[in-house]
Amino acid sequence: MLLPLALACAAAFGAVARYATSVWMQQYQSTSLGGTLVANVLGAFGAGLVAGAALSGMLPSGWHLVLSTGFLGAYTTFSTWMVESATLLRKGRWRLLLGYTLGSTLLGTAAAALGLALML
Amino acid sequence: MLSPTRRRWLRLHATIASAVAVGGAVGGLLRHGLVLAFPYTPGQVPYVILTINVVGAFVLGAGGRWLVHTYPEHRLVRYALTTGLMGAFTTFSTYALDAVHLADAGAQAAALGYVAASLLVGLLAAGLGLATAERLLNAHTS
Repeated sequence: MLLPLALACAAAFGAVARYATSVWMQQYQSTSLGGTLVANVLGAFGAGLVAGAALSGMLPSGWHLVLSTGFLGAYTTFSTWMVESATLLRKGRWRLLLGYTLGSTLLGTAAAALGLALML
Repeated sequence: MLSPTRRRWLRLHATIASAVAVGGAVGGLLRHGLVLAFPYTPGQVPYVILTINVVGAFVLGAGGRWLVHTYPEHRLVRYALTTGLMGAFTTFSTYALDAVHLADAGAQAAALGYVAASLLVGLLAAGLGLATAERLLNAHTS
């Protein structure tokens, strides 16, 4: 069917967008953390917006899946975030770990809540 | 027009992006399929997402490190599998939004528990993955 195809394309775009974000952020800091953080928080915000729009009846059927599960699901990443965090942990970088891992969690959930609230 | 250096930079990143795109499509489809198989409503704890994320953290921790050391010259395949597949397979946006939905549905304790569990088990899984790769690589060279 058409939906899995659209979803696959959206996921492909999302992953590429994440890669582009990572490359872009590496201009400003040499680690991969900045890119992951930006992508995850932006993506969480987007997920809130899309969910809010869907709940408000603004999205035609199928779009929620393609945008949220497809694009944003691929744009954001949990695995990269965790491997980076685990690496910080293993290196004993406690302050950075706290800032990055907890910070991502707080910023991400806040961003999702904000996006949702904006559209409801 | 573009300088030769700029053109080379663009071509490099475009090639990597293509590999990432292929892996991303597969990862997204896998996640979609699993969520179809194990659906949940906004007020429920998304165990399927938690499982996907934790498994992905382990696989990336183990696979990423192992691939870099075992196939250093196969950069595109590595990008397709790690940044592409595992990156798209796991998701932060769904995780964050689901936590918000749980809290909104009145299940604040479940929301906190879900966030904490994802963090702790995710970190553990990633750390175990990294350690596993190290062990495999050391065994190989000894």
